[in-house]
Amino acid sequence: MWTYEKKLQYPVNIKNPNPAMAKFIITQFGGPDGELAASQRYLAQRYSMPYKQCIATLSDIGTEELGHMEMICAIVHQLTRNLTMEQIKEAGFDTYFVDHTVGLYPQAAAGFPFDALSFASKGDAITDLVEDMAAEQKARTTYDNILRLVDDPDVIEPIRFLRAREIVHFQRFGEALRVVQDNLNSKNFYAINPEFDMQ
Amino acid sequence: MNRQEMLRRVQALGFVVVDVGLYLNTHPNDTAALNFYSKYNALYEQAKEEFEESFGPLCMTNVEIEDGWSWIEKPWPWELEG
Repeated sequence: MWTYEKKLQYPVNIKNPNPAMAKFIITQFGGPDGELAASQRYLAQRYSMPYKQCIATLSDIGTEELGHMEMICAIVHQLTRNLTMEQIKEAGFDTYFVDHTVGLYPQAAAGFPFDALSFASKGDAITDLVEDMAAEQKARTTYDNILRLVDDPDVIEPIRFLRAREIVHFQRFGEALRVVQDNLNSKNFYAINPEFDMQ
Repeated sequence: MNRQEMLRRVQALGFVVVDVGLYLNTHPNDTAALNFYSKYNALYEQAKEEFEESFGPLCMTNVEIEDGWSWIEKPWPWELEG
């Protein structure tokens, strides 16, 4: 069970609206390597995960990703406040505006809507944790690309925080993978799937 | 009370608080509901405290480190009667 805490994990205070930036930052809400996909990927994987350290890692990182999704939504929301129709048209934000006005809708930067195919839950401890490590690196690359594209310090700061968390999560998933391997036959890690053969 | 009985009490009181909270979101000035919330939220906090004393933390911020990092200990909620 979850309880909502009425705070962001890291502050977001963007003074100047910028719909052009919002158009690509929204990909970390609903894109393939975004925070929505991350949270649901880890929270879905934890039920069949066999080792307590790994269950806790998936639970807590999945929960933190929900908080990151909230930060991304706060960034996009603040970038799309008080817009004139001229600003919307000039920024090319009209294609989003016509469907969603300035409401938050999970989509990728290129405009395609969130796709559950990006979750990836295979039911194999090694497979899933390697997937999760890759997912953190993909999100880190996306944040690096966002940082190449933005010049507003109010946006850069929270994006840098989110980028740093991807690296920490990558490290923790790597340690969780080590826990799994320490519990398996070191001569053949793939002899069994601990999520299925050791129930 | 055993673990399951204490957990049931936490679950029931937690549900009461969530449900009256939803009602108060749209009826924020209902004095009777505010008093109901206050009474049951206190009971909920007390029930959680009693449960955690005997059976470990319900959330990460309530870990007592004398027991080590008990946060990761089983059962997790989706394990049979976790």
